[in-house]
Amino acid sequence: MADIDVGATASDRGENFLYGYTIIVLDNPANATGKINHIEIFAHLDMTGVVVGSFYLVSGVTYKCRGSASIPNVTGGSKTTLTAPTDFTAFDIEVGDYIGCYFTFGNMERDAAGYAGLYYASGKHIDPDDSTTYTLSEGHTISLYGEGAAVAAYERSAAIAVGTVVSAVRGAWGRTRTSSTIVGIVATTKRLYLSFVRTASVLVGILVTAVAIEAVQRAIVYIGVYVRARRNITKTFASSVIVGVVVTVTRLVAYIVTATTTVGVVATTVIRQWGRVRTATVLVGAKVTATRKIAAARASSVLLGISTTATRKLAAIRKATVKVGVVVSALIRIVGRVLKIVVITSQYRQINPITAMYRKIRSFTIGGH
Amino acid sequence: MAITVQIEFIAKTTVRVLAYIYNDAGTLVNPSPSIKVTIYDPDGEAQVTSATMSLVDADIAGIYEYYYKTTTSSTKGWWTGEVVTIDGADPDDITSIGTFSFRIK
Repeated sequence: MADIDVGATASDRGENFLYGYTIIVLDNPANATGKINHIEIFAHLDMTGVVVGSFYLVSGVTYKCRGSASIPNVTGGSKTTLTAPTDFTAFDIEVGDYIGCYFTFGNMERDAAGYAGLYYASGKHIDPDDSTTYTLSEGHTISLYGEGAAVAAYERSAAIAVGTVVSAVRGAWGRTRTSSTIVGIVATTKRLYLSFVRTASVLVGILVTAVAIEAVQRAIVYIGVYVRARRNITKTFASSVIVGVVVTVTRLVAYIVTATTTVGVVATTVIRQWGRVRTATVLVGAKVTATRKIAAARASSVLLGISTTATRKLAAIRKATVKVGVVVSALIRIVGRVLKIVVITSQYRQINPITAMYRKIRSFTIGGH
Repeated sequence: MAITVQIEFIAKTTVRVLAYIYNDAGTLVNPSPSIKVTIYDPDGEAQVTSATMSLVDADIAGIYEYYYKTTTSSTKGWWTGEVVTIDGADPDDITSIGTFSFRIK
């Protein structure tokens, strides 16, 4: 099964679409990022000068071509299947993109109702980075379908002084690194598979990360809010949060280390299954840890503030130092044991040392005669 | 020194109640959070109610004691008692009971 599928089934349909237009199929947008290497097309009459491409929305009804490839002439009356690199050069597509085509002569199979619709524009707008405004044909579709292979995504932003960084990766696996964001928002969202995210420095702003399986390392968040939400396996390392709030919510297996929080709140919630949480130092502020099921939590130093730990089921919790503040630990649902009790009674005899000494002397004296 | 089990006492003596607490594996354990003793006179009146028992030796788990001093006015006859342990946290806590009896002559 292909990693990517996009477009509508290439089948014999009731209507047809004439040449000379760039057409975008709104049915079945791409489910992952990668390259289209397989195309199926059903022509009503022979098609020539055919180009197939991927498109994404810019704004309103303006779409831009991301990638495209010319394909051989298509024979009408049956489905034609084309494969890269033999028949065409594979082209880029990203999750959410649509497939489209242009042809200089012929027409292709079309249905006029019951589908997501078509966008069309007169002329050829299918070279990469071509963009124009399109007209909608509601409910229409054409027989154009593509498949492809997902590829790894690698993103790196070296420095963003002011602004917003948003990364969204879906499918396959991704590796994202943002080395410096001075002011603004960094939001990263990923679904499926593995990902590795590292944000070295966020001076002021908000850092939000939501990912499935991943390993996250963050070196410094100076001021702001730092929120992470994850599912499945997670290993998180935040070495320094100077001022602000750190919130981590994780399901299933988690390993979290927060080395230093100078001022602010560190809240860690590990929900379901087991988690291992270590907070080495919280200088000022509050630290809250809540864990269900098995947990090993260690807070070695809380200098000033409140340290609260609530755990259900099994837990091993150690707090080495709390200099000023309040420490609350609650272990909930510790399952009791059925115990066997054997009770005996005996007489308590209190020994009087003077009486005991008298008895010994008397015994010695009698024994001497 | 071996402990002599005694079930008959002359009034005014002190009865030492010793409780040995074992888990399923037969190992002496300390119940948590509590171990209490209640002692009833022959008329069924509680003379000691849910008193906390103490570890005989802080370094040895599972052996608890309680001293009950009888008086000349203590009712003669068979006294009964029960040691109640609660282990685990609500709502998963489990209560276990051990009973005993002795006679005051």
